[in-house]
Amino acid sequence: MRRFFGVRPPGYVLRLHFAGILFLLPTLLFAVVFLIGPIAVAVVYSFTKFSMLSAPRFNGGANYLAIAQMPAFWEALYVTGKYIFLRLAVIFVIAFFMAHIVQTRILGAGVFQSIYFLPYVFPLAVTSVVWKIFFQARGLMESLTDLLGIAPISWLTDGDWALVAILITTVWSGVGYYSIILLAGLQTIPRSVWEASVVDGLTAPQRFIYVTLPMLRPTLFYLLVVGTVNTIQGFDPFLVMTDGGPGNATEVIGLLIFKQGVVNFRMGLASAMSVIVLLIIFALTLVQHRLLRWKV
Amino acid sequence: MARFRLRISPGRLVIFVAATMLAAAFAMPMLYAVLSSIKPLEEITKVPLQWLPESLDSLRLNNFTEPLARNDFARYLANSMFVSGAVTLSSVVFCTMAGYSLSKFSYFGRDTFFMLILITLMIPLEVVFIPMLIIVRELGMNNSYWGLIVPVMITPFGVFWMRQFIMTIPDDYAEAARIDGLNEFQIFWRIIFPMCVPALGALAIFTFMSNWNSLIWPLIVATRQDLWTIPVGLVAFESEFARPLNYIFAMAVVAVLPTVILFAFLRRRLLSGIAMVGIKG
Repeated sequence: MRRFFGVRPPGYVLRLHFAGILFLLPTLLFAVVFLIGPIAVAVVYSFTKFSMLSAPRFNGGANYLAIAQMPAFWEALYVTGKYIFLRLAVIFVIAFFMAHIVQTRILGAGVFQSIYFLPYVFPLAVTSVVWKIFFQARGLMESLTDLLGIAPISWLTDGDWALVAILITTVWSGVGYYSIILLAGLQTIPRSVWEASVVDGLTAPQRFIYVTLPMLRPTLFYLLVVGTVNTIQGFDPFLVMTDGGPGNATEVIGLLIFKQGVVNFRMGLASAMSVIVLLIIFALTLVQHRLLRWKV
Repeated sequence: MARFRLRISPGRLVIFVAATMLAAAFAMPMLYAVLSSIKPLEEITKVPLQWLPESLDSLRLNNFTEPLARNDFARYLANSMFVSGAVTLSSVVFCTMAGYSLSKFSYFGRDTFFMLILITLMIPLEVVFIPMLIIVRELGMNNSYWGLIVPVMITPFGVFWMRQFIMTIPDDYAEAARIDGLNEFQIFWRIIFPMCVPALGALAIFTFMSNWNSLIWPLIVATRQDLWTIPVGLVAFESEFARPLNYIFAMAVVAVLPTVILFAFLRRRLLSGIAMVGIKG
């Protein structure tokens, strides 16, 4: 406008400010209530005893003290950590292979990619229900172990196998998603770098370790953090398939919060647990931020 | 270099065979579930396990019609459609508005607010569902469609996604429209919004899918059965004592159908959207 008239009409800047804020207004209100709100509420209520039935009562740091002395909480953190580590490790290996398949453009690469990805679009809860049936006695998995000549495994009721069963389910359901992102990362590596490594006489494993992995670092960190958060978040299979059992073998942190809050109505305690998980996620995000020096 | 030249080498053959085996392993559970959804119960529970229905006569389409009609699954389906649709619609409109505001206007606190959106991007509802429930109850929205829709009607991801996209639109369009005398709302609705369609498409698919698929929030915010969505209904149905497997398989097929259809038609856009998020973070 300046280009045409030399000066802006009166009120122009102010009007733009106003318009900008007006467009943001719905999101601003939403963010205050439903994005910041829960965090604030979690912090405040974590210092209270609250059961939804009576008004919240301030109880100092009693919830945090109780959590510190609660073996179930630390076990849940341990199981969650173990689950995240195993899940991401398996996913990375398979997803790399899947991305490699698509990248080498072998016959039917597109079909393979679709099949690998398809389970990701199923609701995780539905996947969990169906796999729960697969893992039960005389189910699909037992017919497979029979075929391989392995004695039947009581997948969901054996403490050593329950987590494995859930791992199989959630790797199946999620790995296609990770392979898409890995593939995108692989495709950002310039061809010249590959060619140079071939000229330099690197073998395939050497190329993977010295060229591919370092060049993929941003993608890998992204997947690590997003994978961790997604894995914490996706506790549907634990709720559906094992409900934390047998014993506490598959009681992950999300499920523990769910049970304390929704089943036992210990909202204050559950809030305190949420705060701790939030802090862990914040720390992770910060680490990722630092490592990548994100520019937005 | 020809992209699609057929090259055969031992290495590629090994990869092809491995890829096929992996695909078979991935497809097997889906195939078995789909086959089971049209079999009568006796054939599903038979030992040893059998894959194909015994005869065409034994096919059971009432595996679908029975639970849809008698066990309220039609209602759950409608609820899922309504909630996911409403959330997608509002998310598309409001995230675009916010993205437009955050990228093309300057005002006090804009960048602080955007940082805040970025921080909350990492917080899944599944971690803060208890405090969210406290808020939603305080607002009187629990056990209503409001409670299912409003707390997820705008996503930080959507705001981030649309802001990044609108940043790439040159300012000149809005400036030209301003000179032509359009007001700010018209500029947004007639100029900016139509230009956002490629990004909106991906956002709409993501939003619809993630809401269609969600279990935990609908499960805790709606205890009334007439508000249940498909995942909640199916999980509840499965946990009943005498649960007929044939119905469960059939309803699982119904529950995955919408997202599978979306995927079939919008595969390219969905995959490239995911790839873009991955690269740009």
